[in-house]
Amino acid sequence: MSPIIGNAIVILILAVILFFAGRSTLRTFKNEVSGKGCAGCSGNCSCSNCGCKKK
Amino acid sequence: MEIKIALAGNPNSGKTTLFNDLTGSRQYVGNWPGVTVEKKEGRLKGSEYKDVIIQDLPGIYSLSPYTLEEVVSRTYLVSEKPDAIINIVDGTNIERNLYLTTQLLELGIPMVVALNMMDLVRKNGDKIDVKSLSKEIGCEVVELSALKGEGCDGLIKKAVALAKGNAPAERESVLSGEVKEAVESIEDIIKGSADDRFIKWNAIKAFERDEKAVAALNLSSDKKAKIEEIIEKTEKDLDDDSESIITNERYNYITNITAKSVKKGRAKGELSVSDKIDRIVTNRILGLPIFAAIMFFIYAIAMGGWSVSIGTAATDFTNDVIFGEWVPGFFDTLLSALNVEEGTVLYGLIQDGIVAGVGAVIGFVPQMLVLFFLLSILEDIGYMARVAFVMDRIFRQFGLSGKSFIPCLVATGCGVPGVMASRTIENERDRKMTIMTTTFMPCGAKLPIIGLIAGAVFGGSPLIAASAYFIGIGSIILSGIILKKFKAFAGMPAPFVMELPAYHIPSWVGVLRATWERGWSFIKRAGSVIVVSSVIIWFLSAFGTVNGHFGLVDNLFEDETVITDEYVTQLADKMNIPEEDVNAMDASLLASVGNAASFVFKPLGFGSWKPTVATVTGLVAKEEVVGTFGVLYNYDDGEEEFGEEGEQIWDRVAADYTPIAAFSFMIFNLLCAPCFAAIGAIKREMNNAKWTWAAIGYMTGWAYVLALIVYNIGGLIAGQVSFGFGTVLAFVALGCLLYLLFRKGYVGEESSKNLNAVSANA
Repeated sequence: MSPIIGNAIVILILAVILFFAGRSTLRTFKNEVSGKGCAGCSGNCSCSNCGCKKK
Repeated sequence: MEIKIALAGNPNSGKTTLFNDLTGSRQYVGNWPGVTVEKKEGRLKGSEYKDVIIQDLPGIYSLSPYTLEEVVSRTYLVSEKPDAIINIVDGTNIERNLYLTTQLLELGIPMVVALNMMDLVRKNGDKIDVKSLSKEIGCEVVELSALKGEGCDGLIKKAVALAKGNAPAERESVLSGEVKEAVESIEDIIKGSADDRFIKWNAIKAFERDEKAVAALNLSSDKKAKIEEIIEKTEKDLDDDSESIITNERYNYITNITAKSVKKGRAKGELSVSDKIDRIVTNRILGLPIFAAIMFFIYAIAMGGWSVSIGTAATDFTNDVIFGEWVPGFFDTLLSALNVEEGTVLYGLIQDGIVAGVGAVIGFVPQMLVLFFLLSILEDIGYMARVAFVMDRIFRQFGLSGKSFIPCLVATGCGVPGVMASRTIENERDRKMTIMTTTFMPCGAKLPIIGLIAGAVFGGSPLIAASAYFIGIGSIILSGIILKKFKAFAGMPAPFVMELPAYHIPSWVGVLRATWERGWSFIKRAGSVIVVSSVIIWFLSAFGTVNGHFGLVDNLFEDETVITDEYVTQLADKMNIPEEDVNAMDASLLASVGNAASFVFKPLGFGSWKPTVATVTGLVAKEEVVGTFGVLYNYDDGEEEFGEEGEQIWDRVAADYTPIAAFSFMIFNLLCAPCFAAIGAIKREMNNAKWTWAAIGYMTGWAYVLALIVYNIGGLIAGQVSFGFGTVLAFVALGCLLYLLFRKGYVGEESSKNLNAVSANA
């Protein structure tokens, strides 16, 4: 495999991972700063302010 | 048409278990309007009950107006008028639970009593004659074991039938004699002012001088005067205040009916197994040493360097083998196959950025899991409730309340729910003070910091790991003493009444689930926040300006036309390090920024750019402190290959810090401003920008002062630090601290106390 293709594959995979990780980070950050942070809990608690909790 | 059934009962009576059983996943969780009390409602399971809504009311001991939960519950019952009430009664504490039952019966709403924990009642050898109890109370009583799911079907059928029938049973009055006559007179006065269904309840509340209930009746001053006359006459005749009179009447009634329907297996005064254990565990002298010993052993098993320290053994394996050999080896093979050469930017980003950063954090998961597992066992068996009780005795000596310690216990998992748990504190001053000090407790995210320092610098000493926990508690106590002397926080500590649940064998499924949930949330954060942070840290540490040229610092340092002796001297001066220690990373963007701010931490013993950067990244997530170290200390000077032994990072960390400087670093990061998540929770609970900044400022200031004192004075005593300006500063800081601790402080007016004490028969 040529280095160019190899590098391109790695960059593409990294971009996808960083996109989802970054999106999750921004969402978490937005929730945390507004006080709805659920850092440290898995979303299964009965806390009504958990940003992870779905209705 | 929808049917509403309210679920009411004491805390710990099994309401939540029953509610979850009845509604399954068809629940909505919110807040009661205007207050921070949680509201839960759900639809009953089963297609024949699709119109039945179950409203779970907060756990309450009575319908008095003293706590938010009580006010919320009675407001709902009086204004929403549910079609029926299911009153859950803990069969093992029937006398106390029936107190609420007597008040619910006065509301005139159709009700069925669910006698819960009947399996435990039988196990204790107690006997409850359900038919007799039902006859005495005047409503249906159903046996239930919510945990085992026994009796739920029968209960629901009865409750739904009652709700549809809408006819409360005829009941005997709880009151007797002169009190009964007085209340009946009040009923005549208030007739027409409220719903006839609640006339008895309103009359009793008026007799008790319940301000909220009386205000809702909108009585004329004439009527109020007549009612007051009746109350005063009764109080004079019975030589007691009106509230106590009603309470006594209720308990006399309960004693009469339980004498007929309940036979205890244990003789009066005989201690249960839980009581016997509590005699030792909550003993005035032994309580605290036992707690200290238990926490020491827990931290030793999770994070110590002993042979039983399974947490450390697992973490060592994760760091040395999984993230030391397997993972880097795997990526090395994969990247080679894709022709991504070692030394390129992409290779460096993956291996030195993501793998190193995330690996450093994930490496501590085993220690965390062991710690959370052991803490979950303590919670599940019921011991942690005793800890709050033991701490209350100590806290009270310093003007604090054990109620303030409960959020701190919660914060050992995560600071966010810990801060939110401060809502249970009614006293606003105590609540603010608790919010400001809760995050002193080491949360799950801070465990990697403790693990790194204890492991890298102190050879896995369990003392260092356990000391982090007690430094947190000590900070809370000392902060409480200091803050209580200021006007904003001065005042008597709130009374602390807490139910101690009986000890029981831990539910292993529950313990494992709680352990996994905490560990999984940590791993999820590693996969998001830590990945992104590691990439940013790697980028900023890999790129920089070397002698006017911008690019990859590694490559620039190898270019002899760029790197001159003059430049190396300049860089060494700027970084305040010997010339022979200068390496490429010292020229990075991150090093420049970190170095500019590092002077702040010089008095604390870690005034170089790496710990400065790590401390700042800890604001994002505390575990990122270790992630940052993982990236920054992963750098090698070419002498040894990374990946052969993971502990190279630990060795490099240990080489950079003296023991006292490392301990000071740990203290600062454990006690300073928490992560953004916790700051957000503080902001929400304080609901005031000024107080939020005050909280952050206080925590950071406290951390700085403590680290300053430990490094300079502790270092002087240990012979690791010489006398200097820092030492003088530390002594001044210590002097100020001692002054704040021992000064007289603000003394406010004594608050008026409402002395209503009632003892219930056991």
